[in-house]
Formats: sequence, C-alpha cells, structure tokens
Amino acid sequence: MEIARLFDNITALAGVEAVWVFGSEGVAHTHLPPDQTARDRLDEVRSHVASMYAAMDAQLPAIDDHLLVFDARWLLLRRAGDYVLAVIASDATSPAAVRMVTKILARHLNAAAIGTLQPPLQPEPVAPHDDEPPTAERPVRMYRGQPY
Amino acid sequence: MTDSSELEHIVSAAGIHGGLACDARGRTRSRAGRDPGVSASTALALLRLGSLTGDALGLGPLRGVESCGREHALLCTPDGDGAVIIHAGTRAPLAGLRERLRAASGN
Repeated sequence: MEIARLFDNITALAGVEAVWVFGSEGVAHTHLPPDQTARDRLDEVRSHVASMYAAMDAQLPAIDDHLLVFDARWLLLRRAGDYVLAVIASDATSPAAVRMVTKILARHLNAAAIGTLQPPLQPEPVAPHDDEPPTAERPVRMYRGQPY
Repeated sequence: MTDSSELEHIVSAAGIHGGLACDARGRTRSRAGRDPGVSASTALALLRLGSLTGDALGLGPLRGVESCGREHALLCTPDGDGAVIIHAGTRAPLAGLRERLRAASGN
C-alpha cells in the first residue's frame, strides 16, 4: 500500500486546505501545509490536541475522532495509534467524504509507512548575486485576451 | 441559553441517549435522559482547547466539537458562557443538532 497515494486521495477532494500528521514528537508529516502563520504554531496546536485526547480518554476511551467546527471551516482530527491525522477543509466539503478517504489511511498510519514519505523540504533562502545583471521583466503573454 | 424543555425535546429523538447543559463553572443547568458519560468540566475543557486550536490555526470562533468512537458519539457546543453536551451511540442522530443548539444558545 503506497501511503502517499492515500494522502493524495484527501487532497484531491475540493475544499481541503491542509493535511498533516502529528506524531508523539511533533509534526511527523506535512502533505498539504497550512498557511505560514498556522505552520509556525503547529507545535502549540499539537499540545492542545494532545490535551483534548487526554481529557476525553480519562472519561470515554476509544474516542478517536474529533471534528472541530468553526465559522467557515472545520478541522478533523483522527487518531491512529501514536499518530493524529489533521485535515482542514472549507464548510462546503463534507466531513463524511473526508472520513471515508481517511479511513484506510488511518489503518495504515504507522512509523514504517511514515518513513516512506519524503520529509517536507525546507526551501533554502537564495542569496542575491551582485555580479549578475538585472534581468528584464518578462513580457506578459496573452491567450484569447487573457494573460497566462 | 438552551433551556430544559429544549434539552428534553432533543433527547427524546431516536438515537440520543442524554444531554446536559452547564454554566461556565461546570455547574449543571439542566439535564435530560441518561448521563452523557462526559462531565461538564471535560466538555468545557474540550471547547476551550478547541478554541485555542482554532486561534492558532486562524480558523475563527469555534461552533462545536463532534467526537466519536466505536460506541459513543458526543456533540459539545458553547451555550451562553457554558456548554451543552449531547450523547448518542453513533454520529447520525447528532446531524443537524449543532445549528439547532446554536440558535437556542444565542452564541
């Protein structure tokens, strides 16, 4: 089972904005990153999510899914072993559809499967070269009256 | 806020086991049906942690948390300064309740 394809099934759904996995140490995999502001706070989010599961486990064990509903978006958290899959989607996306495509993924979420995924690459900052001549701005190309 | 008659009405629906409304300090305002299996303080904690999560991710105000497992499904929504918890065996009976509770709560 190629786990990357199972992640792709989630991001193929219209309205899905972010998909990542929390492990016990932090973010174990980011398939579709949230925006930069949110990305910078994922450690904080992981701590809140862990507290949510701990609070619930103390009273009703085996509650693995939490759907947090906000004004225009929702966050689905699905626990699978030591991992928690997180999906942010717009209101227009059906949580039932996301649950369906994440069901098999949750079953296969383990350290070995996560290990097969590419770690998210950090783009290296590009230093400007002073000796390079300034490049001219490319002309806008048009197709049927629309820039492309 | 969700009053006891509204709670009784919700709990009378098929598949709903019980419900509870509490204030901000976790004191029960009204209760209907069976014990929801989760204390008021846990529901308040879930809503607080959910709100903090939403703030960190820039998702806006929290409208509710739906939690489910193999044998239990729970809906927690803000209700005035407190919370309402509805307990069912599966997710299906909870569908549509969030908006109804939101209308009743004034949140």
